[in-house]
Amino acid sequence: SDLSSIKANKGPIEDSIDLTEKYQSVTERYYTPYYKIDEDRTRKNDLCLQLHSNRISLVTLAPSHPILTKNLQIKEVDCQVTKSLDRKKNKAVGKGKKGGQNLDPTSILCHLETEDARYAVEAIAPSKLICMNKLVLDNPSLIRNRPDAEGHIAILLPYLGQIEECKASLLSKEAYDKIISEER
Amino acid sequence: DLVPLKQIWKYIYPHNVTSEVGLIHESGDTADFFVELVIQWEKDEIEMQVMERLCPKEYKERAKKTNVYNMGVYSRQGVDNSLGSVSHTKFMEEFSVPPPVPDTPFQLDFRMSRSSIWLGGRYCKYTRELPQTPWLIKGVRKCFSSVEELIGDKVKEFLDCEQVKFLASGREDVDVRMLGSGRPFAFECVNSKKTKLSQSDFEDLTKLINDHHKAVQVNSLALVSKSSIKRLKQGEEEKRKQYTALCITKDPYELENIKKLEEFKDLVLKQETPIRVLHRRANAIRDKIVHSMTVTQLNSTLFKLGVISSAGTYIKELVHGDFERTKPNLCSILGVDTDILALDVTEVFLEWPLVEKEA
Repeated sequence: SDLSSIKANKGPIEDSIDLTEKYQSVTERYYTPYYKIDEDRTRKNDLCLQLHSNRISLVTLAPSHPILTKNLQIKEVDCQVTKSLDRKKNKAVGKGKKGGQNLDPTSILCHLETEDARYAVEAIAPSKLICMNKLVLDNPSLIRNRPDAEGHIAILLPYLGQIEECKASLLSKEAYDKIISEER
Repeated sequence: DLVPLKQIWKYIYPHNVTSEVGLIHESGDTADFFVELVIQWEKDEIEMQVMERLCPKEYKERAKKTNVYNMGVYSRQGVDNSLGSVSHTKFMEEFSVPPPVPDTPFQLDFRMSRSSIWLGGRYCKYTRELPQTPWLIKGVRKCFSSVEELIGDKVKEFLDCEQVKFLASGREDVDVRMLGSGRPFAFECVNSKKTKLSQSDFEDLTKLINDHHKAVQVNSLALVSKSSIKRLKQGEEEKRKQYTALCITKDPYELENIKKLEEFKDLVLKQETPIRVLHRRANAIRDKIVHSMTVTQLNSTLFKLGVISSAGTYIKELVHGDFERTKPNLCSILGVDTDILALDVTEVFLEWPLVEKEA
């Protein structure tokens, strides 16, 4: 494309864009989901990595997770992962998020304590932890009610050189939907 | 205190030049035109090797650091500093005072330049597909042009200058239009051949730029002083902006519900760094102010929001809340999922350009 493909539009704002597109949530509009499903299909601790176009990622529960399908109550979001490691104490300073906790795909971000079971939420992507979502620490029901929006569990900055490999190891929405529908 | 040799040379030498060229010499502090003489002598390095004998430790270290001292180990400032620790007697042991007269000729090169002129103005961007400045990812262009280049190329052409450097009072996203009287900007024009512009010159330049592409239009072009340039940055950090946002709600809204937004005055927002810029900005919370809002209904789920806010307010996040990282937001105030479909900047409240008064 070149200069001639760009048109000047001086009209009112409602005439300056295509209004026929159907409504999309903020998550649908700006993020691409990648799914990591639990090998243990009775436990189904299925997770989702919502990847923004700028590489920043949100870790959320996948729609097939028991907390969502069985509407389980989350009693606590426990960030004390080991005796010495508390994800709440993460400090990522400056543009480069210096000091942010280093995460492997299987690093545990937190445990979700429900009446049924205790679920470990993994980081999914090799990344730096920017922050745990303070909102869900105070109000765990957001995870269940707004899983892919206000109920996201953590915000990560995946390592640039490893992001493509990570995406390849996860399921696209199409692949995930197929597997889940076949399970029913 | 001795008068530096350099100073004495500066008092004496210009007379040699003026008598030859018949022009008046002015101090470099106030002149706009410069002739730079670059003098090089083949035995400079050899002469400087005395530093290895006077400050051996220091210069041995520097010889190793080829990365830092890639332009050469001896700089005028560096040698000056090193000699501060050398006594007169020690110096005279290693080097003759006065220095020997050069026995071979030196190379003389010259460069002529003039001080930059500054062209100020305001621009409007009528498209949602053009970035303000060149957009490159890993050296590859994401968009073939920019506001900076569409205007700058013509300024460079018209003024016949070596280079133009773009400065603006803030910026808008690629997908945001800039309307109203436009965003204040300036170009530093380096080594410009044309330095005086008449009224008709400004008109011609405006037409040249505006004919280039209809989506980028300028107005109020004027020459501005270098000192006024800092107003652009001040404006970016301090001045209010006005916006129109096209908003959509997930479910039909009640008009009287959204009309409530017009009652807010100087609403304080706490904005955590929006996720869409979190990859290049620090994660912090910033206080911003929404001075006032106006609402116009378009249909049961669509409305236009007019906003006047403090500098640096992220409007998209004011509307959708960015997962509650911006509080309050339209979703929390209206009680319904609200998103922004389009954004226009309708005013940048900064007086610009500030025109130089004729002396």
